[in-house]
This record gives sequence, C-alpha cells and structure tokens, in this order.
Amino acid sequence: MRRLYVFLLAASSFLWASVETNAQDTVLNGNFQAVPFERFVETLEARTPFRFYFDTKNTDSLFVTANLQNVTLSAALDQVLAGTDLHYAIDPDNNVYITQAREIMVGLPDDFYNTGQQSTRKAYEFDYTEYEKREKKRKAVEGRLYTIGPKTNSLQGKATLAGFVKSATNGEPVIGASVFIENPLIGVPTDAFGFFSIVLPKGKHELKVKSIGMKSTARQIMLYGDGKLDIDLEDDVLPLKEVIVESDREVKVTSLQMGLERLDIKTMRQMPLALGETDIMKVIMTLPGVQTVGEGTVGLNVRGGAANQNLILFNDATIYNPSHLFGFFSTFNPDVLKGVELYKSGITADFGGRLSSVLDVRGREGNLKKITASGGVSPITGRLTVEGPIIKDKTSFLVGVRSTYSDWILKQLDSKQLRNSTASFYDINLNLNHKFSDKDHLYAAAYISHDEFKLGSDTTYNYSDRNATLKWKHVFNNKFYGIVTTGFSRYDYSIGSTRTPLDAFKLDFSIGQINAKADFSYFANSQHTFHAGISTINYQLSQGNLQPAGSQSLIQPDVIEKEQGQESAVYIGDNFEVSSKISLYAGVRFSMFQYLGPKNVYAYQGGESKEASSIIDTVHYGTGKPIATYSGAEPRFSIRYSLPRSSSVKFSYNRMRQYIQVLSNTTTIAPTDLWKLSDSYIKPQVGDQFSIGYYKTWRGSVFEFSAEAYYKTIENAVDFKNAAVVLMNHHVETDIVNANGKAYGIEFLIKKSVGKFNGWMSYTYSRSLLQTNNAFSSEIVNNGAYYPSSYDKPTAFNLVTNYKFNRRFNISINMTYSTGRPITLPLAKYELQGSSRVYYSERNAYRIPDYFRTDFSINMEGNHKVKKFAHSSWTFAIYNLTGRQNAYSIFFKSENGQINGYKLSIFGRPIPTITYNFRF
Amino acid sequence: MTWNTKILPWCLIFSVTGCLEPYQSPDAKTDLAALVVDGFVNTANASATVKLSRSQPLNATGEPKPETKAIVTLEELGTSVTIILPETTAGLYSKQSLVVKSGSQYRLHIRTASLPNVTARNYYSDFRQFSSSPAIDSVTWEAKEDGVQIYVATHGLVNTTGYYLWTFDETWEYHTFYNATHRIADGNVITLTKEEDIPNKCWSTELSRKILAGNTRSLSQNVITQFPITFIPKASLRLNYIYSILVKQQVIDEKTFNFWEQLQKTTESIGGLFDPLPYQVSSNIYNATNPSEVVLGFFDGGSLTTERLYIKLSELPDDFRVDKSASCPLLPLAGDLSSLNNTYLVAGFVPPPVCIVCTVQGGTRTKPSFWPF
Repeated sequence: MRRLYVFLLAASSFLWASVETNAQDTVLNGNFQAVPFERFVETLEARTPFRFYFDTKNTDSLFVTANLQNVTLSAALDQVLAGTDLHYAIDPDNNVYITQAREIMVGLPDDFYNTGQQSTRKAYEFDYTEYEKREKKRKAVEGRLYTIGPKTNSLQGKATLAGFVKSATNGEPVIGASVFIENPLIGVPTDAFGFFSIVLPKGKHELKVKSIGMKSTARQIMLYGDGKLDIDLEDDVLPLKEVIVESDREVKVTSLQMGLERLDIKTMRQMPLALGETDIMKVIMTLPGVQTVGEGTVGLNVRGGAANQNLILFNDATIYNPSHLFGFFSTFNPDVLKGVELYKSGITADFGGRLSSVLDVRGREGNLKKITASGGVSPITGRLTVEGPIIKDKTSFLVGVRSTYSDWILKQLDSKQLRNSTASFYDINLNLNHKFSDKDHLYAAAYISHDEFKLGSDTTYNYSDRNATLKWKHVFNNKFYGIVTTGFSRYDYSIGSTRTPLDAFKLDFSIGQINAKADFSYFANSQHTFHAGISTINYQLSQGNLQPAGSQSLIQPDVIEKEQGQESAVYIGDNFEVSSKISLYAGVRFSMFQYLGPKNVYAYQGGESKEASSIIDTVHYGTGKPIATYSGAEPRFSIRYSLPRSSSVKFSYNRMRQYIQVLSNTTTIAPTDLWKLSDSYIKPQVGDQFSIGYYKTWRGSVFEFSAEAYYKTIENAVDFKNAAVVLMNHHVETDIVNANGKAYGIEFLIKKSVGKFNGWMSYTYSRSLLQTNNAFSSEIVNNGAYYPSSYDKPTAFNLVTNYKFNRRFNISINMTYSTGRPITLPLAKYELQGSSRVYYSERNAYRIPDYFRTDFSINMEGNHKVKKFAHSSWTFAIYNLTGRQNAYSIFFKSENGQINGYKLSIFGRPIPTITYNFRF
Repeated sequence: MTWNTKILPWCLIFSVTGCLEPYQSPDAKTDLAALVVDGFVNTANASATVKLSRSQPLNATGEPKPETKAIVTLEELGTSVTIILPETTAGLYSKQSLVVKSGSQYRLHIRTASLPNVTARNYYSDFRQFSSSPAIDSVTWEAKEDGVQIYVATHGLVNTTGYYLWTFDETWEYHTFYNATHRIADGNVITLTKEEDIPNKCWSTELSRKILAGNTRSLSQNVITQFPITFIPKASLRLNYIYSILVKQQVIDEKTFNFWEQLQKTTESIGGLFDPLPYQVSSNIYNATNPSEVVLGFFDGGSLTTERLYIKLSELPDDFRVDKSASCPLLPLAGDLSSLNNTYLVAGFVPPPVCIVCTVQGGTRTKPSFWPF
C-alpha cells in the first residue's frame, strides 16, 4: 500500500489525503473550522480523485467543522452531513453525488444476486413523496405481469378480456377510453359504464389504455383464457395540459362511427362564455353541421333538421326543453356533467324516436373515494355541487344545485319595464350509484329544472322539466352484459295573465312519458359484437287547459282533450370486423306507434281541405283503443375502410322514424310550443340519411382532418298554413300542412388537438328545403315549389383556438360566421283603414343579415399543488368582442301610418363576464 | 361598488332588452303596384264608400296613388240588381241613400279603367251579408300612473260568439298657456278685446289607425268588458283641457275577424321573441280572370253603432296638470315692431308662440259642431 501524505494549508483548514490505487480506500486527514461546503469540496477535489456533484442551493448554508483523522471519505461525509437532510452516494468511478432528501442509488441493491454478501453500510431509508409513491405503484402495476385465465400450455385461439376502466381518484367510470394492443392493432372503447370487452389472441400482450385528461397506462398481460381485469387511470393532475379534446386521437380515423362528436367537460370549460357559464349547447353549436336559428335560443338544427328532431337524453331521460331564461342558458349544470356525445349520422339501432340527431348528455356518478365540492359564481348564476361516497368504493352520491339571482338584478335596474319583469330559474341534479358486486351495479338519477319569467308584460311563463331514471347493469359473463332502464320524464309549462280580473286566465300544458328498456351487448368473438334490446315509451300529453283565474274572470274553461300513445321498438345490431381494413355495422330497429284512446276524433269531408267547416262527424274511441297505428323498420348501416397513411373512408345510411313533434309557428323553441303525437291526420315523420366521409390524421395524430357529405330526405314534415292557430286549437290538423323536406351538405373539419396552440376550424355548406305537395290551395306554400326551411343557413364557419402560455394561464379566441336565416320580408306597403299596411313576400324568400361573432376568454388557474384545500380558477371572457349587432330577427311595424323596419340584436355589444370557479 | 355589481346590469340589459335599430330591407321589390280595395257599406246611414288605390314600395314617400276612372258597382246575389258607386274624389267611390236589403248578400265589382298600355281588369269580392251591431254598453276611462286608458264594453245575443271591430275618432280641445292681450299688426300694437281674436282655444281631430278586433270565443257569454281601445300618455296635448273619443263598433263574422286579426298580427305586433312569423294575408277580392294576381284590402258592410266619451282635465287626478310656466318664459318686447308682425303679446311680454297661439300645435280654431262645451 503506497501512501502519499498531502499537507494542505487553507485559511482555516488543513487536510491530508492518502491516496491509494483504489480511491475508495483513500483515507483523509484534516482539520476544518467553519469552512463553506463548497471550499471543503474544492479542497478534496484538489487532493483526491473524487469528483463531487451537488446543487449549491442545497449546500450554501452548510459550513464544515470537522477534525478528520485517517478516515475514509464515507466516514468523513457521514460526519460532515450528519444532522442535515443531505445524502451522498459514491460510485465506482469516484463520483460523489450530494442530494437532498434521498440518496442516489449508484449500484444494484445489496445482495442483489443472493450471494450472501452484505455491505457494511446500511441503505438509507427515506420517505417517498406522494407522487413518487404513486409513480412507484404505477410502475409496479405496469411492470407486473397479470395472468388471465387458467394456465395452460396451449396458446392457440383467442380469449375475451373484460373489465372496467375507472378513475383512480374518484372511482368513476372512464367513458370512451381506448383499450388496445398495438401488435396486431386491436382496440375497443369503453362504454358508458367504463366497461370494455376485448377479444385478443392468447399469449403475452401489452394492453394500453388511453383517455382524455387521464394519464395513459399499460398492463402486461399473459392471456391464457377468458378473464377480467379492472384498470384504474390516474387523473392528469395538470388539467391545462390537456386543453382541447384529445379524445383518442386516432378514433376518428379508426372507429366505425361517423358523424359523432364527443366532447368532455374539460374541453368545454375552455370556451369563451356568453354569460359566465360553461354551456354544452353553446359549445356544440361550434361543431360542423350544427346550427341555431339565433343566439338566445337553445334549439339546435342538426344537418338541416328542425329543433324538435333532436333526441336530447340526460342520463337516459328525455329532456323536452333544454333551455333556461328564454334560452340564454342550457339546463345542464356544467359541474355535474361528464361529457356529451352528438350523433349526426350513422346512428346505431339502439337509438330512435327522432330524425336528426341524438344528443347524449352524461352526468357524473359521484366520487367513490372522498367527499368533494365544486361550484362557481358568475354574474347571473351561482352553483354548488357536492359529491362523495356513502359507502367507500361501493356507493356514491352527487347533488348539484344551480340557481339565478336575476330577479334581484332586475329589481336594481333603472328601466321601469325591467323592474316589472321577473326571471328566475333553478335546476337540481341528484345521482346515486351503488355497486353490489363486480357483476351488478345500480344507478339512479333524478333531475328537476324550473323556469318562471315575466318580461315587462303581464303574461307569466312557467316551465319545468322533471325526470328520474333507474338503471341496473348486470354482467352475465365476460362476453355478455345487460342493462335494464326505467324512468319517467315530465315537462309542464303554463302561461298566465291577471292583467284584467275579467280576462285573468291560466293555460297549462304537460307532456309525460314513462319508459322502460332493456339493452344487451354480446361480445361474440373478435369479429362480432352484437347489441340488441327492446324498449317502450308511454306518452300522456295535455295540449292546453285554459282556466279562469279568480272569481271575477269570465274566461270559459277550455280543455283540449288529452292524448296518449305508445311507442315500442326492438332492435338488433352487429359490429363486424371483417378484416383489419374493413369493419361494418348493420342493424335494424323496428318501431311501432299506437295513438290511443280515450279520444274524440273529428272526421272531415272527403275531397276538401281540412277546415273547421268541413268537420262532418266525431268518432269516440274508448280507453286504450288504438286510433291510429304506424310501424316500420329503420335500417342502419355503416362501413369503414382503412386506407394507408392513417386515413379511412366511411359510409353510412340510417332511417329514423319520429312519432312526436313540436307544433310551433315561431322559429325557436319557445315555452309555448305545443308537443303533438302523430295521429290519424298527422303522420309520423320519416327521415333517411346517406352520409359519406373521409378522415385522416398526420404528424402522429397532431392534426386531424375530416370531410363528411350527407343527403337527407324527410317525409311528413310539419309546416303551417298561413296564419295558423296553434294554441287552444281543438282541431289543429286543420292548420297544418304536410311537407316533404330534403337537406344536403358537406362539412369540413381540421383540428389540432395537442401542443401549446390547439383548436379546430370547421366549414359547412348545407341546404335545408321544404316542399308542400297537397291537393288544396290553402295547403300549398309558395305554389308547391321547394322553399328554404326557417333554419336553412347555407354557409357556416367556426374557428376555435386556444393558446397556453403556461399551465396556469391560457387564452382562447373563437369566431363564428354563418349565413342569415330565411325570413319572409315585406314587399310593398298600402293603405287600409287610414293606416299603412305591409304586403309580405312568399314564405322564407329572403334572409336576415349574416351572423358573425368573435369571443375571447382568459382562464387563470390557481397553483397546481396537488394537495391543497381548494382549487380555484378565474375566467374572464368577452362575448361578441367586435360588438357586431347581429340580427336576432328583422321585423317591420306599422307605426302612426309609417312602416318602419327594425333589426333586433340581443347581444349587440361586447359583453364582459367574470366567473369564479372552485373545487375542494 | 365592486366590479361585479358594475357589470351585472350591463350584461342583463343587453341580454334581456336587446338592441333595436332601424333596418332597410336591401332588395325588396319596388315594382309591385297591386290594387288595394278599402270598401265598406254602412247600413246604419245607408252609405257605401270604396277607396281604391295602389300599393307602394316601402320606402316611397307621399300618398299612395289613387285608382281613378274605375267602374265600381254593388251586385246583389241572385238578382240582377247593381248599384253604381260614382267616383266622388280621385279614387274614392261613394254613394249615399243606398237601398240595401237586409238578408241579401252583396258583392263588389270593380272594373279598372282601360289605359293605352293596360287593358281593363275585372275584380270581384266574395258575397257578404251585412249584419247589424248591438249598441255599445259603455266607453269608460281609467286614470293610470302614466296616462289614461280608454275601454269599451258591449254585449251581443246570448249563446252566440261575438266578433267585433272597433274604430275611433279622437277630438280634443286645448288651450294655450297665456291668453293674448295684444297683437302686433303693421308695426302697431293692437289691443285684443273680442274673443274670436284671441287664439287661445283650438280643437284637433284624429282618426284611429290601429286595428281593434275582439271576440268572445273563449268567454261563456257574448260579453266584452274593458276592451282596451287606446291609451293617452300623461303629457299628451289630448289631456290639455277636454278630450273626446267617438268609438264606432261593427259586428263582423269569424272570417272577417280572422282577416283583421291576421293583418294586425303581421303589421302591428311582430318582433317579440315569441311572435309568429309574418305571412301573406289573403284578401276577399280577386281578379276574375287571373286568381293569382295580388289584390289587397277587404270589402265588408254592416251597421255601425257609436258612443262618445268626454274627459275633462278637471276630472283627472291633480298630477295630470302640467305646469308649463317654465317652458313659457315671458320675454320683454324688443326690436323693430314692423319685423314682429302678427306677434301676440301678453301684457307687453312676448312668450314663445306655442304658449300663446293654439294653431301652432296643429289644431283649428273652429269648434266642431258636436262639441257641447
């Protein structure tokens, strides 16, 4: 052993180091008096082969005072670092790492090879942070090999793996997550319960799971036979990272479904808002193929369909009026929502009853792990949602309440008209879910929304939507599960006036439905998945009950006879993976509708237009007697063909039948709309849609492009004779004309879903036309030629952009342009009875000015500490940044003998709002 | 005041009241000059009036062009009786002392003049039976916070449904704030002594322009109580001294009611969020050879019953009396008298003309013959 003594004189220290060929055996000698750690290290590095690595931030307050006598470096550092939270590690190359809180492992753990050799130095034990613990656990589960099915030697054939994908944070199911293997590429999405069932070749696979706003994960599986595997996904703790729909980027290209738009609540929260509230309906209106007749209305016109041709489901219950406060808000409280899916085409056989689209809104189920609350305050509304477990990991609840203080605000205003106005609304959501076992799950949801307003006039409007559903899911086995759903929806609305006691009245309407259905899914093999089910809906409608209000009123009670009907359907559909390139869906729904007694039905003189004067008889039908019966098959078909370079083409056809419609001679969904069942005179509407599309992603799915074209025909659409009377009409069939409709269009969408800058841009060209082809002149509109429907808006352009400066701060700018909707314009004026009158054009011969709007918003999140009492965010938004006075309507009035045209804009100026959101 | 409370009303005002601004339709047709018929046979005084004109572009100014030199006749159903209505003034065809039989049906026949480049056209109305109106029960008024509301009440035969159409003429007497004492004429100050020389009392008359149609369809009895006829705002000149309204009532049938109601809906009450769409209102007059030609207006007849109401300022609450002393300052007489010809003075001072000469506000100094005060 060769020794070398080194003498060192420093300001207040000295050191000897004896260096041997093996540096680990170097011994040190020296005396240090309050030497900065950095100097101490310099001294050592100058005299020994050791090289130190450390962060001066961690050591700048450390001063070394030590008298070292023939000690090894390890012993010296043990002494020097004692009492601090610094650790050291020395690797075989004489590198020394000084770290805070934990040490670096520079070699394999002690006795890794079970040789029995133990090092003398004990491994340091330290606390992992929460994050590291989770990461460690995640790595552990991801690294672990899960054995599925009984071990066998034969790995021939295929097996089915099923299970649930849930959020690790709150135990809620993750909908629409992709569960897939890459080689060969086989994947399935999770359904509304987070359930998946995938058929894979037996053997070893890496099963990957991806979902929006969640961390991707993977499981190593060894598949011997059919089995179960539940997967928990971590929330992505930095919500701003995933700002825009990331919705399985490849899904648009690889999935069979076309015409589907899926949005989750995180995406929607980023959009600029009109009145400080996230509104799913407003977000949906930025998607291609979706139009509205005007702002301040919630009615959607999907691909040239009327607003009542959309089936709006909220937790499987039908919503009849999704608007609050004249339509400025939608009735869906953003805090209780999970996401929404809009089917524009390729609608599968499990949905039916409306022609244009299905809007499937899903509420959350409540946190299964702990009690949390969230809410927000905006200029007009306040909302609070509380959720949590009743029995941890088994039963959870969620209660959401939202209300407005607009009544109070109206009272503060200067205008007398507004002071005399009232407007209030609320909505309440209650969701419960209970897991009996892995095989049985019960869900219950209840919902109430109520509106009441009086707008400077003497007429009061009231309406409320109430519904409840109970849903039981049973998993028979890996390949087969079933869901039984039952529930009711009720929509009540009324108009009242008490201006003069003699004319005081109240006019009530209601629509009630009780429905039950059973749906089954059978994952037969890797190629076929079957869905089948039955459903029935019983409708009870009251189309007007006029009653006097107060004893003085001379109003004669008048009740439109109630009507009732039964709509039933059975369906079956098969998803067939023909090959890796081709997959198709074929399904058929057979629906039947019966218009039922008790009811008195008018008979009309044959060969004449139906008028009150042509009634010749009244036929009475007893309770439950079918008055009219309609039935028909509704075929549904989709096919996808994959092309090279991440692209595909799809085609779909679907036929829909609709047995309930809105009669309204206004363009919007108004609280006075009349719902009407198909009857002996009003035939069910039948719609056929052909749709073809091309889809492509590139740059690793950063960009996505789609183009879809469609052609639609509608039989038995409802339009009105001129000056039709809808309210309190005992024979409304006399005011209706039968029309046939056609709609066609092409939609382009380009989307960038990741990166600091993201968003989408869509362009749509579409037409929606109606034609009356009846025998009687009073039933012919515009001489029987095709005329634009009230929601025919050919050109639409939307731009949604979002830029993240950092994870706490982002801005977004949206632009919307569309052609103005058609109107009937005055053509000439004339004098009659001393006053000027107006002669109008043919129906819908002109258009209101084009619509253009730009919105802007800034989101500011609080800090992103995971463990924090409350998370909060501020949103500052400006709606209609340019202040363009978009026309809501154009109308002309005869005032003092002059004819004056007016343009009414609702949001005619930039509207700033500020919203505070919280969650704890 | 916090930021929130500042922006709250803003948002709400914009969202609820919206903004109205004038709108010119960009390309409405301007060449549609349809025949407009405004015809009525009043069986109460056995007169018939038919006004013929042409429709105008919306932005046209001036009176509509009268349709002259037409031949207008009343034709009785089932007989060859025709009554010619001669053109009394341009476009106005009328006749007094008509002989119309109750129970008979009549139609209007119009033959337009044959012009060098337009051939004569024949137009007919539907046949109409003229019904008589019950008496008006009452015309009443009610003082409200910001004006006076006028109502009409009537009743028809028991167990029938009544359809009514009302029109009204308003006349009001108003006084100037000052009674003139002197007038300047030809550079001289003349003392006014005779009442007819003092321009302090005027009367104005206006005819109703609104369509007022009511029915008892939803009532158990054929009774109309408190049908609102018109509302007079508090500051209106109508309430300056004595106000009078003549309400005329006509009983109509359901079809006629629908016509007026539709016309009212399309031209008077459109624009609310929930109002129905406008549409073409069909006339009961058509071209005999070309039924698709646009013809506007309506022909009807019946007996009119009337009722007159007077409201004196003294009957109204005290707050209806407007103090105009601030807007009527007395300025000293200054300048050359010859340039002040026809100026009225009160005790040597010059008030603004509106405060001393009633005709400035459009009325006439001739008392209407029916005026009882």
